[in-house]
Amino acid sequence: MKLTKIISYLVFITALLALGPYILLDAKSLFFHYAMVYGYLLLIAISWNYLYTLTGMVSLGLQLYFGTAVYATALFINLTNNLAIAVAASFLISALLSLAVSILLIRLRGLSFTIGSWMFAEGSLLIMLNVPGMGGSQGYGIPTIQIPVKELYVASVIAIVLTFLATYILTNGKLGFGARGVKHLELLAGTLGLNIPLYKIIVLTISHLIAALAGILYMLYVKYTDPYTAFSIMWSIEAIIISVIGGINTLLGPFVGGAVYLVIHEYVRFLYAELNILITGAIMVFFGLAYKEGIMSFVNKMVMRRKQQPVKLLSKIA
Amino acid sequence: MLDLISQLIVNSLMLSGLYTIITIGLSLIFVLMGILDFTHGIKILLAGYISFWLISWGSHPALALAISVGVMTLIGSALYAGPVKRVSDIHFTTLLVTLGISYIIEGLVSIYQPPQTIIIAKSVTGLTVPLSIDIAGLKFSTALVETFVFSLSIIVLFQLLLKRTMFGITLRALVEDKETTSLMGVNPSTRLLLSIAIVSAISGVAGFFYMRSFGGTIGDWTLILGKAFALTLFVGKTTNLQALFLMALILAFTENIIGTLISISVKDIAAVIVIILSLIFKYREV
Repeated sequence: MKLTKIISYLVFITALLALGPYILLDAKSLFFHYAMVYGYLLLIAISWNYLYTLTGMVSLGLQLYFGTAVYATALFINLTNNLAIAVAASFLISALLSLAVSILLIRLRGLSFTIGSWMFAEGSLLIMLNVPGMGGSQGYGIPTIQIPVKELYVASVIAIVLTFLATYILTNGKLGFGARGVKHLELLAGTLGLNIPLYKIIVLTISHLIAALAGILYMLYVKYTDPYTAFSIMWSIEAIIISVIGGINTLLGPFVGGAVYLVIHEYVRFLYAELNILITGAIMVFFGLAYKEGIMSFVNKMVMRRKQQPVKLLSKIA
Repeated sequence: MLDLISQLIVNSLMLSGLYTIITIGLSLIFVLMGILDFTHGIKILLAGYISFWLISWGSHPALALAISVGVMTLIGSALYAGPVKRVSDIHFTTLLVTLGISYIIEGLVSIYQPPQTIIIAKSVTGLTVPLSIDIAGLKFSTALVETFVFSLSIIVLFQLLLKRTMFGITLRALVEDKETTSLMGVNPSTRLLLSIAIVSAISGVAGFFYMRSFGGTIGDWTLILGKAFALTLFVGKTTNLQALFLMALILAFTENIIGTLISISVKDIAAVIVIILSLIFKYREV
């Protein structure tokens, strides 16, 4: 499909998704709450899936960038009372942090990378607990700013669509092909002259910035956090669950997986609120054991099979 | 100053024994199956909780230790033979399932036990012992001394098992070359199950002595797991217990020195920094 055609579809979908509920629904509607939760879960899942698809790296440290963006947004809003400055500063800090961490992390591969990424996030959690002026374990909030939920919802839709478009272009462009070359045949890619560390750093930074975007939306919506929530490993785990349900290595997988996960999780939690951690564990075990290929991978295969059927018939006749 | 350094070295040495037995199980599963078992941390804490509950219900500490070792052997073997073995081929599904099991156990324990720090205050001998003893101007925590004696015994026994018994030799052969060893008539599945049972039992002991030395809450499993992961990855795919002990000593010494000289609240940050640095600068492809 041509890029212009995809963009026109996306503009239409964005307008429909953003303006429909904005006009038709009341601000107190539960739809906006679930849409916001879906929004930041989806973004963090896109972040994980993008990194895994292009590099094969399994990250357990996305909460580092999520949490950093959460705190940076709150801090700069409280300092400047200016949303634009806070968002820009939050992105900048996350990007710099990502660059610094990625330079060290690309030395690791496989399980070492997974544990290394997690340890960076755990370290940040412990540091954040001890940073003076950030509330420690009591948490930190933004009492000064009020953003109507409807406007936040529209911003969230736009952010998701733009992220989708960016990952589509980056996955199917030169960067995507190069990174996948590094993923499958690193030694060969190096001999062919590809700058392997650079490819890895770029993909890692993009992935981390998507996680940071999720963190910004989270803070603007929830307005209060603490280190145990912002830097919780659960953000990375939820990203993996969503990707596994929807289909790893597919761009639309997180969208479908996010919706399925949200429905299951919120419904079961509604029924048994006090068993939250147990239920999350059960969901993880269930989808880990039941994993085959994910919903979107299955759909893609079915579509491909249909397309190939005439060819098969022709080859039989021949 | 010299007294302080001596004290730090002694404390670190004692702690490194505990860190080594905490890591042995994870390390052996990693070596044999090529997976990082995320249930390892929660299994250790569960063993500590089982011991704590049994003691609080009036059981003798040694009996509580024996029961928790037995329970952990059963749980460890059942988890391996069931879900873990089934998903061990794919990296992220292993991660998802083992982490999920950890959360289920954490959730189940939290239903019964309120989220507060617990500690095993009684000596494993059942006798009333002082909190610490002074020898040559150095202070020895009795809990740490007990922990060290048991840890060292286990390390020595495990080393003997690996080096001197036919079981250990076939196990090491499996690590070197699984296919050839299988062709020589060794059944990898049986050996693996037996090793999992042994290391799960060691986790049971580690859990008891973790709760005896430090105490903690069920949520501490992530930090225990982080330390065990780092030590495992640092040593790599070998059964080298000396290297494991040495790295555990470095980790314990860093924690102790930061905890003493700066603040106890930042000692875990120092541990995480050591873990990250050890991973990055002593990298082995796994």
